[in-house]
Amino acid sequence: MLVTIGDRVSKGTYSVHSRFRRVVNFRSGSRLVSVVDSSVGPGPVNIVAEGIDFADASDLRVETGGIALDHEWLAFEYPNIYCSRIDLKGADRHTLYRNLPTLKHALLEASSPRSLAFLLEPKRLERLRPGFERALAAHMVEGVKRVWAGDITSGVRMIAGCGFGLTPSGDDFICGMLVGLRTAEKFCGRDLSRTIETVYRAAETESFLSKAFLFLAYQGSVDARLKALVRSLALGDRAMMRQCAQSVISVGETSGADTLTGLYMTLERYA
Amino acid sequence: MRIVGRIRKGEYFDSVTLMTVAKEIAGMAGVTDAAVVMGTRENKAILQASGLLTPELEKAGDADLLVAQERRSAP
Repeated sequence: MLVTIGDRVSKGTYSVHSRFRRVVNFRSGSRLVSVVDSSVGPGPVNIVAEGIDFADASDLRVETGGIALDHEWLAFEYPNIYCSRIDLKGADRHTLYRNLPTLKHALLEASSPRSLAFLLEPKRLERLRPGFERALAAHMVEGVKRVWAGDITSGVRMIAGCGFGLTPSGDDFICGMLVGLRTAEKFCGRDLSRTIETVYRAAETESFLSKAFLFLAYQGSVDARLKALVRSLALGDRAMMRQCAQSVISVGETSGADTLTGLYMTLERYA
Repeated sequence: MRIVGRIRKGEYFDSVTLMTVAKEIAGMAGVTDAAVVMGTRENKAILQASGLLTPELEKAGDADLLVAQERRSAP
């Protein structure tokens, strides 16, 4: 059965882009839709399916009442639309300030040594292999330094497309920055739209997946794990926040941790 | 030292797989440095800075997977 459909899933006909164990990505022009199992969970462009073998599907058609996977029609029995916007009603800055150090601690404790968490604790650089890994880290450090010094365009250009993974670590970091800026706007009441625009424009990439994820983050659309984390940062206690952080960090080898590093560093500076 | 570079086009692997492969390559006998990354402009710049960019890898695009290794030359 179909469990949820993301609020950014567009109607249309899609072809398979890439397949993984728990996710099949479909593409139509610049639009992405991912059919995922419930362990991945809801997201802005995710269709969560349970008890359906979608691993070999090649074509997807999305309509109002359901989807067709390789022409097999699957109706939404109980239409459940996942809202990817973060609602922070009732949030206060004091809770955020109290919880931010817990987020940093969770990141340093649970993230892969090859994640960008070295930006929070430089001694982690010693764990990287000499050669490519250290050159990559130095490149990231310089890019981030430029961003925080106010040279956003040149810093983001250095970070974008940089690092390990199908969506490179730098792109995940920038997604975290964009979500962090959107969140900071809600806390501090400042208009950060020019900064958001500058970051997004500088992060241009030819990678279809990175482009799709950056666009969603730019629009403030996030998956359920990240949404729960941001809400717990603003509204929850430390135990809940730690649990939500671990859930995000478990995404991919470094993707979740890289996104959280960008989010944390941005909130620390802008919120 | 000898640099060996390969491009895998149109194949997508999750980050856990990519990291595992990179670790295995780096641990192989005779390999002194290795990278398994997507062929973005910035990754190619870092490969160049660390001496791992070959003329073939230079031609790769953002969606291509690059596998680069530095190997000790046979005596």
